Formats: sequence, structure tokens, C-alpha cells
Amino acid sequence: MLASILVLAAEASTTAAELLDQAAGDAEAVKNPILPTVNEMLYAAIFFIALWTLMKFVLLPRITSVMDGRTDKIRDDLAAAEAAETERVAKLAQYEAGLAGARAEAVSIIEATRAEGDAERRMQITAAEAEVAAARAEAAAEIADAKARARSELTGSITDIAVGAAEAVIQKPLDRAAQSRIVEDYVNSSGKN
Amino acid sequence: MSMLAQVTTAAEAVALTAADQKSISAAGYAGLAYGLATLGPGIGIGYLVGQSVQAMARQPEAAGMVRTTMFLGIAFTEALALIGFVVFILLKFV
Amino acid sequence: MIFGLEFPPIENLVEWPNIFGPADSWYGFNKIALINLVALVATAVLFLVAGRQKTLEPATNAPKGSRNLVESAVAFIRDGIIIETIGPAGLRYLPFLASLFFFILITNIFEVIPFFHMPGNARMAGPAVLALLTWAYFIAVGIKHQGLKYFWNSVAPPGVPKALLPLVVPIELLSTFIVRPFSLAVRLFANMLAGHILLVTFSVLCITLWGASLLLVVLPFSFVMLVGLTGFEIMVAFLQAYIFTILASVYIGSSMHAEH
Repeated sequence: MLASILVLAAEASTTAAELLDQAAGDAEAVKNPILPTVNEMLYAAIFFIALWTLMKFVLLPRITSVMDGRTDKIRDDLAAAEAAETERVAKLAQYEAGLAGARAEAVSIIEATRAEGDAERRMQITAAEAEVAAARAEAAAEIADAKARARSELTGSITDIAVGAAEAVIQKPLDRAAQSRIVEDYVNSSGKN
Repeated sequence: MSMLAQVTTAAEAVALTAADQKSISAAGYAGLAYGLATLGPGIGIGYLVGQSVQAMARQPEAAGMVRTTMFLGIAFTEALALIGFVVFILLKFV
Repeated sequence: MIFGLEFPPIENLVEWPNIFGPADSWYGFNKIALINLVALVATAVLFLVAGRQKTLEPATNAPKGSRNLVESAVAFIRDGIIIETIGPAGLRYLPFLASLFFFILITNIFEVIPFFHMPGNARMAGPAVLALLTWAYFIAVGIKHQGLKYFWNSVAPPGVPKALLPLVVPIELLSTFIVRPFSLAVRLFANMLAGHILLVTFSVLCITLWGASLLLVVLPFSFVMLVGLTGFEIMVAFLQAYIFTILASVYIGSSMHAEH
């Protein structure tokens, strides 16, 4: 009795569950939306492996060969540019060395010319000074000569005047030579003062 | 026989409520599961990206490496939240 | 059903009837398979069109048009993913990683392409296949580089004290051989499914609000949100392709040498 009740109850519950499913509008067995289905996995695998194979043997080599070629070309160009740069730097250094040499030469030429000019100038100055000194010495000699002549003339005339005056004072001829010596001494001593 | 019919209707009622109970509680737990699953990864990704930005700001020359590692870290951290999402779908719709 | 908002059941959003082949058969060709086929054809055509310019001696010129696009993408995968994570030794894995990137990117981008509006990876099948292939690939690379010692090296990193091995080996075994493919697949799948559901939600909201007289004022906000999320999903589509590829690259790189 109890067993049959239980069986009936179980049947009733299963029919109830079925009714519930039908009410939810889902008559077929509930499919899990998470789990993968075989047909989709099959096609995903086929198409992905096909893409992989194509990529490995057909698609990618065409792209990477050109990319590698370009990379190589860029590297070569860069190396060439670097070589050109090195060469340029070397040439620049060479040019600058030449320029420095020329500049040093110019400086030395200027220095030499300046020294030469200095020497010339100094020489001319010396010559002019010597000339001036000679002229001055000549003039001094002339002056001394003139002075001496004037003095001797003066001395003679003074002696004459003084002797004449003294003869006139003392009324007797004087020793002309002694008087002239006195006068001469006097003139000389007065000329010195 | 009338007693059997009574038992049947009673069992039917119990079965319905059991199914209802299950779907209702599953739906409730689905939201709870996803909500809980977002907490850790949310904190983790925020911390991770913040530290990465700091690292990039301090050393901009290492930005590329930091970015790659940041994406890797995000991927690992995010996995937990996504597993929570899957659990949500399983509880809610299955 | 809330305020007349009738959200379709999730089966209607992600499951598609077969275009040919009986329902539930193992070879039924549906929309997801069509998207995968388009991803294959589009990538192949793009690369072929780009590669056709070879006759113009592009080695001496800057790349233009489609060649520029493809070369940028390949250079991105090569320099941004492989060189960053593996180094120059990883360049031989470029075909696998480039196919992964393009396949995932194009199947993802169908999320926002009119008349499709379905990311191919919002079904578990695609991500599962790609993750399993990646899993097999990095194990194969490990065996090739380290021989059978690869399995021991990957579960017991050198430098771990012997006493810790009973703890480390199960964890590493789980994380390397089970969690890796699982998280790869689930990450891609869940991201795309979440984005798809998000877009569907706002689309349904827009359609519902169009009929509702009083709530019509909210429609512009919903529409702006839909447009913004479309842009966001384009970014997510790209980001997930990038993350899947970079993780595959990291896994392959970690198989090449024993961890330090």
C-alpha cells in the first residue's frame, strides 16, 4: 500500500516537473548554454587549423620577407649613413687642421712683418737722431766759434779802449801786453759769470 | 482510492513548490555569487592599474614593459570575476 | 518581465539554428561556424591582398594601405607580444600566435557588425578549441626543448626545498595543466558573453522604451549607453584577442626553459 502510494507520488512529481517545463515554454531537454557543442568545436578547429597552416606556409612569409628586407635595407642605410658621417667628421677635422695651420702661418707672417717694421722704424729713428745730433753739434761748434771770435774781437777792442782810456788818465804809455792780459782775464771772468 | 488521489495532489503541490523554491533560491544566489565575485577582482585591478600608472609615471622609459605586465596581471585577476560570471549564468539559466 | 521589459531567454541569444545539417548533429553548420569561416577567409584575403603588393618593390618604399595595416599588426604581435614575453627565440612561434590573434579578433569583432551581432567566442566551443590547442602547443614546445624532464620541471620549479615538494607539486600540476587552459577559455568566453548580454540588454531596453509613452524620455540615455557600450565592446574584442595571444606567448615561453 505504502509502496504504491510512493510510486504514484513519484509519478505525479515527474509529471508536475514536465508540466512546469512546458509552462516555461521549454519542452525539450534543457540545453546548457555554457557547455561547448560538438559541431561548433569541429568547425572552430577546422577553420583555425586551416588558418594556422595558411599563415605558416602562405600568408605570413610574404609579409615577413618584405618586412625583413626592409629592416635589412634600413640597417644597411643606417650603416652607410654612419660611414658617411664618420667620413664627414674626418674631413671636417682635416679641414680644421688646415685652417689652424693657415691661421698660424698668417699670425707668424704678421709677427714677422711687424718685427721688420719695428726694426726699420727703430733704425730710421736712430739715423734721424744721429743726424739731429750731428746738426746740433755743428751748430754748437759754429756758435762756440762765433762766440770765441766775438770774444776775441771784443777783448781786443776793450783792451784798446781801456788802454787808451788809461793812457789818457795817467798820461803815459802803458805796457800793452800786460794790460791786454788783465783785460782778457777780466773778460773771461765776467763771461763766466 | 480517494485517499490515493489526495496523496497525489498533495505530492504534486509539494513538487511544484520544490521546483519553484529551487529556481527562486538559485536566481537569488546567482546575483549574490556574481556580486561577491566582483569584489576581489575590483579591488585587485584597481590596485594593480594604480601601481602600474605610478610606475609608468616614475619611469616613462619602462612604460612598455610595465604595460605588458599590467595586462597580464589584469588578465589573471579578471579571471576570478569571469568565473563568477559563469557561475551566475549557470545558476540563473540552467 | 519588469515594466513590460521582456528579456529573451539566454538560449535565444547565443544558440543558433543550423544553416545546413540536421539539428543536434555533429556536423551542423550554424552561424558560429559561419563566423569562424569568415574569420579564416577575411584574414587570408587581407594577407593575400597585402602580400600582392610585393611586385611594387615595397622593400624600397614605405608600406601603404592594406599592407600597412597587416604589417603594423604583425609588427605589433612580433615586437609587442613575442619579443616582450619570450624574446627573439620566440619568433618561430609567430605563425601560431598571429593566427590566434587574427582569428580571435575577427570572431570577436562580429559582436558589433550589423546583421551578425554575435561574437563567435560567446559560445564555449571556439575558446575551448583554441585553449586546448594552446595547451597542446605549449606542452609540445616544452617536450621539444626539455624532453620528458619538462613535466617534472614544470611541476617542481628548481630551487624549491625538497620538504615543500608534496605541497608544491599538486598546486603546480593543477595550475599549469588544468587551470591554464580552463582560465584561457573561460576568460575569452565569459568576456564576450558578458559583452553580448550587455549589448542585448540595452538594445531590448531601447526597443521597449520606444513603445512606452511616459518612459520615452529615458530612451536617449539608454541609446547613448548602447552606442558607448558598442565602442567599449570593440575595445574589449581587441583586448581579449591581445590577452589571449600574450598569455599563449607567456605559456609557450615558460615551456622553453625551466623556471628560475
